[in-house]
Amino acid sequence: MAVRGADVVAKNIIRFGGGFLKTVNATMKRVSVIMDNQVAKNMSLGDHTLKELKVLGHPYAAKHGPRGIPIHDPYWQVHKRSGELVASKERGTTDANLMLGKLRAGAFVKLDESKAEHAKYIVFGTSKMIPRPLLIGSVNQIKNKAFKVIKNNLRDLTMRFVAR
Amino acid sequence: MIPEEKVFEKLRKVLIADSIIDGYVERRVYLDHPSTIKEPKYPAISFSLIQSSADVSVITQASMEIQIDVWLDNNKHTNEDLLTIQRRVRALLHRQSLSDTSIDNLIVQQILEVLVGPVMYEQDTNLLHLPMRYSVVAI
Repeated sequence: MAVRGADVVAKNIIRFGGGFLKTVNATMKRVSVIMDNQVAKNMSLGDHTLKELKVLGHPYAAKHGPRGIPIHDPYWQVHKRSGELVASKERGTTDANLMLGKLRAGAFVKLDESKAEHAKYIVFGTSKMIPRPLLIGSVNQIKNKAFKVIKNNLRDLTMRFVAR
Repeated sequence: MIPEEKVFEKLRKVLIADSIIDGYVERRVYLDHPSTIKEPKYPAISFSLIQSSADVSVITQASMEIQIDVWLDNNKHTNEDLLTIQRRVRALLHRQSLSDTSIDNLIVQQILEVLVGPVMYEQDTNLLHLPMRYSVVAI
């Protein structure tokens, strides 16, 4: 259940010097922090108690349609309860490497199911609850910001952004 | 029809026409999440729209991500059955040409399997569940 935040593809890699990979890794680390902060924000809502959600008729129940009752925008945001889900969140990067003339690097935020088993039911839904694409939704929200960081730090690169 | 509706209808058409899929779920390929359906029957496949955005330059075009869920009865099926269906759905949809003039001139420009979720089990309903995500661009 990982979100790969960004892929950087470099053309004409030969023109870059030895410190370049270090710069790529540092840049991707910054991207991972941006993603991490956004995911944390989207999974830490405190505006409805469990009791209030019950009164509202369980807004995430799929019986209310594919996006539930719209109590948030975006609909997939998640309330903080025990803190287990937030504690299951991890971020990291995939070290830059060169292969066949292409440079690949990545940043990710993931939820560790061994720390929060219910994470998968939130993200993918159940037969009674809509899926809430918390990770990919968060990445889409910060995509432009991440692009800007990459562009500012790694000029002249051809970029391909892959979120999954 | 909006592109999302056309895509769902086409995917249903493709899946129910397949003998392997039919062998598992018969014609129970729901266009909506099972809980929106009165007394859903299982095994079944269902569709959910995860996100969709219109193209600015081509007003009738939409890029969307959809979730295709497989629901099987744990008393009758195994995790291996889930994966058999996943492989079959992939063979039928991933990178396939799915344009269809009979569905309001649907043109599917791209369809890709982007993620296969974890195998899940729901104790209260005794259902095995496997979600798959597809990225689709269609007019």
